Amino acid sequence: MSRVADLLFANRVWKSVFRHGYPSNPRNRAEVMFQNVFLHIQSVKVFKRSLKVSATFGLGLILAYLFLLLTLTGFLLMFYYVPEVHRAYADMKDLEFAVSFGVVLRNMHRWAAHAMVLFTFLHMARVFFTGAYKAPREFNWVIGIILLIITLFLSLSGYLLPWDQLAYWAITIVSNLIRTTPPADIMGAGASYLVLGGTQIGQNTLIRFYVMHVFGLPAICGLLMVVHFWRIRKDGGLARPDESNIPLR
Amino acid sequence: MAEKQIDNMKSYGLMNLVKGKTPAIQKDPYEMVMSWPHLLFREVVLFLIVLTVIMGMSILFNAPLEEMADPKNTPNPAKAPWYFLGLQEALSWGPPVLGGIVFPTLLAVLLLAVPYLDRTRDGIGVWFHPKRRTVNILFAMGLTFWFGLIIVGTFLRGPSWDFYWFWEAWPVH
Amino acid sequence: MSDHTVEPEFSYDQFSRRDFFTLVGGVAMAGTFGAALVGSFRYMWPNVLYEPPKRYKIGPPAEYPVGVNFIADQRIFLVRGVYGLRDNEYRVVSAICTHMGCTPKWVQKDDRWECPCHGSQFNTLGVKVAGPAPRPLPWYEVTVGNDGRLVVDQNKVVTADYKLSI
Ligand code: HEM
Ligand code: FES
Repeated sequence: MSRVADLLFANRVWKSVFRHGYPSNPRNRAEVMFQNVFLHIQSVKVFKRSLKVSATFGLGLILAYLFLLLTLTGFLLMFYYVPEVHRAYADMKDLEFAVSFGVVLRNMHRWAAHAMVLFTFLHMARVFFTGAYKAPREFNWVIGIILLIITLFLSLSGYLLPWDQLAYWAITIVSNLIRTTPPADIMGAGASYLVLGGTQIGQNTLIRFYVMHVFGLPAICGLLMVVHFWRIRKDGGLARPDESNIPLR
Repeated sequence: MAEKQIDNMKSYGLMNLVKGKTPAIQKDPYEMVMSWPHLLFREVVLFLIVLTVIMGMSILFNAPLEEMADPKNTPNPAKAPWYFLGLQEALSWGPPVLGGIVFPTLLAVLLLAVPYLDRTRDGIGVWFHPKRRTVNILFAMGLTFWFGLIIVGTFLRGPSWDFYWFWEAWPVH
Repeated sequence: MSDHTVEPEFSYDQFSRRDFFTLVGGVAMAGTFGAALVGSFRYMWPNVLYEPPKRYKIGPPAEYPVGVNFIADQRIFLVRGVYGLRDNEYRVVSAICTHMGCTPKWVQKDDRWECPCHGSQFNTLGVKVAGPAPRPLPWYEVTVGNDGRLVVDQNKVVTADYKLSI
């Protein structure tokens, strides 16, 4: 058994990729966390109490996973969906009835999006009810609220893309809402012109929402998530009761 | 030879200096475990759960797709996605600027300011700490109000945005 | 290694040659980024639109029966011969709710328009009688074109007593 393990992990190729042996001893377990760019966003050690389910209910991590699933399923949907007003709706129908597993992918994308909005609220509530926004984590709460707003915008921009009745009238209401931003003649009218790409919902609107939905907003969201996680680490891990004894800086 | 190698490998670095008590003074040492495998194992398990639930739901339930967009014909009632129905409900109460722009902007600013308004050190990392009763009740009231609006908008509004109880049937046109 | 690059002690009194170039560089950089940002915003503002015109022809007057006619493609109501109009008189009102832009429905039995989205109601003059809509439905100028068809001009909003007699 250990012969096989040696063959797999104690060779030059493995070493060249990971720079350390298999993480079976404390040193390699530390190394795996800081030699790997993806794992390095987490600390080498964690508090035992942070691992308890009741500490977070894993809500933040669920959000990160939903975002990952949305990115992957969205990537696949883009191969069939064309953001053109005469095609978009037909492409959705094709995804449902003519593309293998298209309907499952579309469902996954839609349900994960709904779940992400719901879990963002739950996560925010857990952070509030555990007092986890207090110094030094104030700014991570702020990043969180921005993530909440971006999540809502992501859902909204995605909502228009199928070009069905739900989509069209939801965007109608939203664009007219933007138009009322005071002073309505300048700000409101200007903002709605920018968002719609004109004075009414049409091709310009669809392509604008599409580009924001598949690139602009996910890019911002992903970047902010990285900062969010980095700050958890820099702020000393998850909030702990003994921090109440440390006075405010 | 092996010893020397370890000597040359720095297994720690100085990140920054902070004021505070060290864990050793008058306190139990922090109980910590290695992230690998304790944290990473849990993370992988949670991913599998999320993936399974979302996939399962997607195989069982189809996402809605209505008729093609038709500017001539507004469905009655026309509803935004559920997470915006609270706003749509607020929108039906008065001038749109208030319900649609001022109200959500105030809400966002208030939320952003939370950690700067509450500067106390009570109950960090504790669920529903008794010393935080007031703020917790305030926040819970806010959440109830928000989700209450969503529930009214989702379930209690029928054609022409008229009010109907759960058990009342909508008139058919 | 070389000690002739040691920075001089900082002082507010001296504005050195180096400070000058730092300032010039900083301003140039801010200017470039700023201009790129403003330019990008301007880029997002379309100059040419491919939208339907605001002044358009609909059918000949005889095509529309007495009553309130919904003309779907243009989202307007053509009112003929009712509510103070004679059979040869026409008026045109917008079918876009002034609240959030849904299409109000004409409800014959109550003599009013009802909006499905947030419940605004408009009377036969287009004036709001219930709901959140901030303004009355606008009436548009309607004339007869040289080919005998009706011409609606949405750029010209008229008062509720305007009517076209034929
Ligand atoms: C896209 C959305 C978000 C993602 C992916 C995300 C992810 C995470 C993760 C993975 C954690 C670690 C702890 C846990 O699992 O609960 C966390 C903690 C935290 N989150 Fe979020 N989050 C998001 C949105 C938010 C929102 C909306 C808020 C609040 C307004 C927020 C504030 C915080 C704070 C303050 C912490 C530190 C909590 C502590 O130290 O106990 N986050 N987040
Ligand atoms: S859009 Fe008509 S009442 Fe809101």
